[in-house]
Amino acid sequence: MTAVVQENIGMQSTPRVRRLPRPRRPWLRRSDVLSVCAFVVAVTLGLWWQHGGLDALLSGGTGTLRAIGQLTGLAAALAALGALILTARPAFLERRFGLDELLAAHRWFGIVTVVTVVVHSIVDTMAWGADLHQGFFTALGDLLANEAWMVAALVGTILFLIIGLTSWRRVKRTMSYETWYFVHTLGYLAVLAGFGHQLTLGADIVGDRVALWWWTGLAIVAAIVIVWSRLGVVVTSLTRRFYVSTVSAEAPGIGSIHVSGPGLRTLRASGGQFFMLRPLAKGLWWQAHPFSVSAAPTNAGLRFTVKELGDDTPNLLRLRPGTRVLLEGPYGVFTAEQAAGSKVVLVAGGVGIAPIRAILEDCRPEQRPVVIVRVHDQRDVAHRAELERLVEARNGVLHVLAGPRAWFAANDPFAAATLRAWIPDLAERHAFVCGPASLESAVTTGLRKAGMPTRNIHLETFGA
Amino acid sequence: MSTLARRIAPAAALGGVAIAVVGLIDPAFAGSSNTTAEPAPATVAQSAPQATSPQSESVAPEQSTTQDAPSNAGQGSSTDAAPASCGDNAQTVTGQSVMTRWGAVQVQASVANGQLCQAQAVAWPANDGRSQMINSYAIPQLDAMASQQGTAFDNISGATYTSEGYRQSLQSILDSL
Repeated sequence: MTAVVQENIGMQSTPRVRRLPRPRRPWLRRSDVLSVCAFVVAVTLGLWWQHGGLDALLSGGTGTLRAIGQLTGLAAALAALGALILTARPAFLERRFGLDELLAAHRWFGIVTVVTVVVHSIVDTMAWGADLHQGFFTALGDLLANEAWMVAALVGTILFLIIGLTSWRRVKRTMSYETWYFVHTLGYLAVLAGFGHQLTLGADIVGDRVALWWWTGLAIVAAIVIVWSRLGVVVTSLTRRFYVSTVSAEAPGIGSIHVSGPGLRTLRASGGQFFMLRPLAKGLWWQAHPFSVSAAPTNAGLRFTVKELGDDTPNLLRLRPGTRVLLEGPYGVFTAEQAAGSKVVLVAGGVGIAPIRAILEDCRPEQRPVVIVRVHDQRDVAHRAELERLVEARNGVLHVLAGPRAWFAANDPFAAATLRAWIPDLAERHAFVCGPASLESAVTTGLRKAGMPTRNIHLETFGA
Repeated sequence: MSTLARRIAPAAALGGVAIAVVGLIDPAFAGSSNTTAEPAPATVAQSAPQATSPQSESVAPEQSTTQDAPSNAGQGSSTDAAPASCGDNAQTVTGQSVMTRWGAVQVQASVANGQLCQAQAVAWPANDGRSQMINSYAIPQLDAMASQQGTAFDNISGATYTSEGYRQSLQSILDSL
């Protein structure tokens, strides 16, 4: 009797550690997404062409002006919807492309939106006045005073300009992340403000039922995707309960946050992915931080390895065990699966070691991982003992490049010739690179020159 | 907490101003009578008087049309007997009123011996200053072109909707002959 009880207690206190299930495979291919985009552009241009857009464009004079105004307006409307869908990071896109690629695409869609909105508003105002030989400002005054939704459209344009300006890296650097973020959310308002005049004045929409349905349909689909994914993220992160279990120091300025809780039961995650971590502690709850999972996620918990970087990371490393954290994610496609079993090169800079360490753990001995860690000082290598153990168990090699930035600038360790000398079978390997942008670009250039196909090079630019 | 408030403030102020400006000034909300968001119903020459829209100071809308100014400001119109050039046996036929994006267009034609000899708009969009200005030059041109070419005329730049409406209304006359 006693023995049985003890055995039960023993089993409960040390449950068998097993891996969490991996995220579901993406069901969309890159070509699917490109086809849908091409279809949307083709239908939009087709409607425009059917309404005499092409003839007007080639007619010279006012017709050309009006056609350019229409084209840029249509481009702006599509780009704005695309940018909103991308930033909503719906799972069907995120699983395929990863959050960093979605946000990079969001940036380009945003730039196209701002540029086309500005060109559209100037050119179409000129076209509006051209028939009556009005000047630009007379025409603008006429539009604003007499046409419904035009004041809203102008307000939207100004908001787009402000959003574009604050997202210009040079300006963005001068403000705190949250200040930028909240201004950026005005993008929703800008898109809404611009929608009205498309329905009342849009030459392609007024008087054409098909076009009206097309544009309304696009807007509804976009709205559903956005609301569904954003709401889904909030609900999931609120209902899955996670707590800080321990916080440990790993290297100067680098520490690990261990998280566990009942939320693990429904979680799917792979090593190398990252979460947006929001600690529910005084003064910290309103900021979410992207942190990479640095060890294979198990039912015992998740480990994040983080560096004291931003305004609040030192506080994060002083989080008390038991503090509840909200986890949004996992995000990213930076996982060992990307190599599809090929041999690999893993390159980490600084705290970029976190996802690299997790991917290394997922490698098999046949993949013979070559691990290159770039740090300022030998002491800065976080998880060094784990790395050495894993590399040995997986039949790999570990190179630690320690030295000040200036030395590396003069002696590029990632020059193509150096890489080839170190790794003779480079061309048949996949590479995983995580670290500062300068390191990632140096390594990418070197690997490409050394003969590695670009599609075999995997970068994580967001987490860690 | 105050840090958070400070970081939200710029966005909140900007968003508030944006919403206020749109709500207070935009014709869609300001209840201006000359908004084109809701076009006037398609009543033709005998349409009930509507709220008077501010006239553009430079061009009176019906100045360049030949006849007496219409009593209703929301709809441009003109009444005229068949001109002498059509001969005494010309009969006057009024076409369908065609609703366009900006308002109704209706054409009246003089027909002699089954042939169109004179076309003239009796109603055209004049709900807003812009329509008045455009149609002050478009309608006389359309009348002249249609009298000579029937429905084969080119659309007038800047008055595409009115041109299309004019053509349809004229076609309804030709169909009835």
